[in-house]
Parts: sequence; C-alpha cells; structure tokens
Amino acid sequence: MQIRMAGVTHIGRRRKNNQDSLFFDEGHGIAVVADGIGGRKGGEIASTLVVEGVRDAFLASDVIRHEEITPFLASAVDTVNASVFGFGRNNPDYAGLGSTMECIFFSGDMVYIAHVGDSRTYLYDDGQLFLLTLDHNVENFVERGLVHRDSLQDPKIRGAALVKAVGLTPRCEMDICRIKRRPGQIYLSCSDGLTSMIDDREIATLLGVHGENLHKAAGVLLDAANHAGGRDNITVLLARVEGR
Amino acid sequence: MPRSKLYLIRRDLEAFTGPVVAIELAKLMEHMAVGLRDEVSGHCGPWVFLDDREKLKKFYPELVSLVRSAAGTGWTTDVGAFRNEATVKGAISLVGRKADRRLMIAAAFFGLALLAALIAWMLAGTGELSSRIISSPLPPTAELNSLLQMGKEKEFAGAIEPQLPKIVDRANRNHEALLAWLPYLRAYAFLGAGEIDGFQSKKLRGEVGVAAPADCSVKAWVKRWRDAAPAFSAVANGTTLPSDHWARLLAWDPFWIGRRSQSGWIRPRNFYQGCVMAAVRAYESINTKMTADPIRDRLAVLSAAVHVPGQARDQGPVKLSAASGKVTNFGLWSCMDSAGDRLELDRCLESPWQDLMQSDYNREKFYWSMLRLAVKARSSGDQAAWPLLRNDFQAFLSGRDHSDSYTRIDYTDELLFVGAVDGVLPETMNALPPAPGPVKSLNEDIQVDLSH
Repeated sequence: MQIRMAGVTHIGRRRKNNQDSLFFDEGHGIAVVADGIGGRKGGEIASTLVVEGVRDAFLASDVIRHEEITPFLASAVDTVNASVFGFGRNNPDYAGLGSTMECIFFSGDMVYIAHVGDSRTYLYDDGQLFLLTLDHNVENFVERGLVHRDSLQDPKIRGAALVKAVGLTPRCEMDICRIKRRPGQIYLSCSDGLTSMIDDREIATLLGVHGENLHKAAGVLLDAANHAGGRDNITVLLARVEGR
Repeated sequence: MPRSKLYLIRRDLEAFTGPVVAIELAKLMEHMAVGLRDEVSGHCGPWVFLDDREKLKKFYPELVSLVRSAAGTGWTTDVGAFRNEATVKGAISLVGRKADRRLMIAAAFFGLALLAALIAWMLAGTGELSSRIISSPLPPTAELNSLLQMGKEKEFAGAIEPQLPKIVDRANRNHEALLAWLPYLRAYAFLGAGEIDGFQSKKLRGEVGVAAPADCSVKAWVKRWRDAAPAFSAVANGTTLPSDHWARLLAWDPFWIGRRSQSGWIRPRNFYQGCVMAAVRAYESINTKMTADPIRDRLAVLSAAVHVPGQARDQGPVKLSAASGKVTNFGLWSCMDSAGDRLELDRCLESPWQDLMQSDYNREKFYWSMLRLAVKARSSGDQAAWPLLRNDFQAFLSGRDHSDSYTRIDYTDELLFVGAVDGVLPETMNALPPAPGPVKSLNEDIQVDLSH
C-alpha cells in the first residue's frame, strides 16, 4: 500500500507570524505537525525545532523494525524536548517556549501516532470521522480523573489550558498510539487553528467531497478555517492509504 | 447506498480496533477482544467508556443493549449496572437471530456448568476433590478498601489471603480483573514480602517508578544488601557513590515520595513507598542487632514518609529524627532531609559535615532540600521566605543540568510549583490534591500534592 500526502500551513487572518511548522515525507511515510507556544518568536522557534528534530532523528536512523518504532519515537521526542527546553533555558528572552507535536508514521500495515498537546490527528474512514488523539488540556485531564476537578474552579486556569507540551519541562510525556491502516483511509493531523474554527462534521463533509484530491482537500480545509475567522495559525496534513 | 455506522474502539489511549460495525463490536466483546474498560467512538462523536452506561445511553444509545448482551455472554465481570437498562428500540435488530442462537448456546452452557457444579459438590462431599474447586466467593473489594483505609493490615491480609490464588489467576487471565484487583494485590505484596507467587513483579510495579528497581521484593533486597556490604563504608565516608539501587534508595528524598500518590495504589500510596518498605524489611531481617547503625538510621528517616501516610502532605514537612552522631553520607542526607528551615539546612554545610559537602551529589541534594523548603514556604504563604529560596535555587539551576540527578528522581512538579521553570502551565495546577479514580491501565499517573 502506498501513502499519498499533502500539507499546508498558513498564518491565518489574525496573527502576525506563523508559529506552526510542518514536515512530511510521502516516500518514507512520516509527517510532523507542530504548533509553537510561548511568545511571538519563541513559538516559531519551538515548532521549527520540533519538526526539524524529528525529521533529523528519522533521517539519521537506519532501518526501523516494527518493535523499534515506539522506542524510536520516544527517543526522538526526548531529544527534541531536550533541545527546546535547553534553548529556553539558555535564552532568557525565549523562556517558556514550547510546542505541540503530532508525528504520524506509517510502517507496514500499522500507523503510529506520537502526540503531545492540543494539535490533533483524525481518521477519516468510509465517510466517517474519528478523533484519535486526546487533547492534553485541563478539561480533558479533569474528565479522566488525572487532574482534580477543583482546578476548573480556579479562575486562573482555563479548561483549554495545556498540561503537556514539548520543551516546557526537562522530561516530556507523550501518547503513542497505533492503528491498523486500511486502503481508502485518510489521516488528518492539524493544529488547533483548524479545529477551533470549524467543527468535526464540517471537516468530515469537506473530506467527503474533496478527499480524492488531497492537495485540494488540504486547501479547502484551510480556506474554511480562514473563512470562519482564521484566529490562529492553521496547519493541515492529509495522508491517504492508497488501494492495492 | 447508506453507509453502515462505524465505531472505533480504543484501549488505554494506545491501541485502536476498527472501525467496525455494531455487530462486529458485539463479536469482539463476546470474544473478549474488547472489554468494558475500553472506549468507543462513533462518527464525530466523543470517546465513551463501554461501562459508562449514562454516557453510552446519551451518545450511542444504539449500543446500550448490545453491550449489555455481549458483556453478559463474554465477560465474567459485574455488569449489574446494565441489568435494569430498558431495551433501546432497534438495537436488538443489530444482533437479530444470532442473538437467539447465542441465548440457546448460553443456556446449554449454563446447564452443563450447573451439572458440573453438582458433580463437583458430590465429589467434594466424599473428599475426592480439592476444596479449592468449591471455594467461597472472592472478598468484596469495597471491604478490602475500607480495611486498608483504616490501617487494619492484619484484617486485610486475613480477608484476601484465602482467595489469593484465585485472584492472581483471574488477574493473570483477564485484563479487567487485573485492573480491578491490582491495588489489593499491591497492598498485599508490599505489606509483606513485596511479591506474590505467580504474579509478575513488573505488573506490581506498573510502568512508572523508573527511578526504582523493577523487583522490589524483600528477597531481592536481601540479596542487594548482602552484595552491598563490602561497599557500605566507602559510600558512608563519601569515597564513592555507586549506581547500585541500594545506594540510590538511601539517597532518595522522603518528602518527594510522601507527596506522590499513584492511581492503582491504596497502601502504600506509590511504588517508591512499597520499595522502601521492602528494603527496610530486608535490612532488618539480615541485621538483627538492635543497635543503631548509619544505614538503619537512614532507612528509619526514609520510612517515616511511608509509615505515617499523608503526614508530609497534611502537616507540612515532618521533623525527622536525625541519625546518630556518626559523620557519614547517610547522616548528612538525613540532616538535610530533617531541616525545617534555611537556618537548619545551612547547618548541614558546617562541621562535622563540611568535608562530605564537597561531593557533587551532596551539593546537589542541598539544593533539592532547598527546593523542598521553597515548596513549603510557597504553599504556606510565607511570602518573605520563598522568593529568596527561589532565587538561590534558580542560581543553582542555571549552573547545571538538573535532569541528570544521581537518584534519577524527577523534580519537575516541584520546580514548576515554585516557579523555577517559567512556562505556560499555571503554577497552581501542580498544587492540586490527587484525584481518586479507578485504575484504567498499568501505566498509572502519579499525582503530586504540594498544597500543604
């Protein structure tokens, strides 16, 4: 099975710079979406460090066996985290920089997703859309009993506040999940600039109409987010599993 | 042609099954490939645990009776919550005639099981069958929980022990049973030998606690202490600091351990506490002399955070008993762990500890102790003290890579709490009390309580 990919990143309509970064390599079946946080320049640097760090780790590795994929992703993210964290510590002007990360990796008949923060990865299969990742924010962590419910009553804490991001702390915990791929499926990784502007049903509808042409679909999703206000940077990465 | 509605199943936020149609989901449940603690999501819908009847009814009503039916045929866990659920219109048709056939098969199996039980009972009466086959029901977990909460360790052990082989067997065979019984198996293990026959030590440990050895049984500690004996004096006088588990354990920070509670643990509250308990028990078993020695003193300081559950959390730093007057690394560590304020901590820099303070790790531990005092000052609202401590600490941080600690203990939560690391995380988030909750996987998060 072949993988086709298309991606686009855009500043949106309100921001002065684009703090999102995107890397994808159709031939090797790997893609990374990162959404920087922490100041105007800091976010940009953080997201660039994340995509370049994962890309470099991937390019520097030899053949990765199936059982080595999870350790590889964990190790790559550890390295990237140390690089972003170290950058913030050594450059006080950029203190507090960090980034979300979605890394999607196709290997054999499996798809691996490494996830930190509130960027998202979806599966679109047979006209139906499923969210594969859990936003690492206060609201979700309270819901799952990982953070005490009282935290939502603190006016300083918003439900959407991030609880995990690459580069914020010396050690970064991430989710790594896997799913068996099937021909015709489309995987969508995106920054919250898309999902905060248009809802899941609209995403599903647009993929249903334009999914056959990934480049067009990515552009249409981007346009829809901008049309809805474009309050944040927008990054869209689409990967389709081709038939035999 | 209208598409069939698909469902995706998620286990432990790690692995997905599907998407599948409803009838396939039912089959997966019957074959125990999907359990009640797995989550399901439909098109553009939220993730819902299959045992969360209310949410399932709200978001995927078509699955309610299907789950009830499939769980009833495939799983032995309690599905009582579903028993009074009204049938949702149309849902039965998903299973159709196959459900009737399943019912007949189930009835046949039930009949056979009844017959087998009757024969077993008759044989038991004649002494031909082991009494284990016809055993009493498992003790209710609520009762075990309350015994643990009340600190009635003997009663807890007495209640669980007769059924231990059966519980271990269930936990080894069935993921749901494992998650349900794990807190009690851990409590039983670490109130005793630190291990359970037939149950893997890595399951007892879970996937957190990376700074602790995987096998924290008393037996493993006896071997560690025996092997370590020749190196005691070199570590005590500061000549060397080996990477062995026994030396790292002695250097652990009791307050760090005391502040952490881990889901899936009731008593001890986390794997580190269990590990200390086993290490103490092992040391006492091979050093039966009652006279104080530096290692015994150090272990006493460490176990104070274990045997007085919640004390560090609820009453602020415990005034730990200082070790005997011998000038050893172990005594110095206890001096720093016992310090209640900056003045007392500074005294650990002076004679007789002065020479030992030259080592990199002891200087590092001095700053971790300062961090503890900063947490205390910050949480008690001592506005005058904590900014000063924080400044000192930041000076220390800027000079070294604090992620590479000798003990491998991660102080990120404490650092964030005192604001030593600036980030988008609200500082107060790290001061929240732990949220009680069921075990959902072996990968249990540790909650940190810095609020007192």
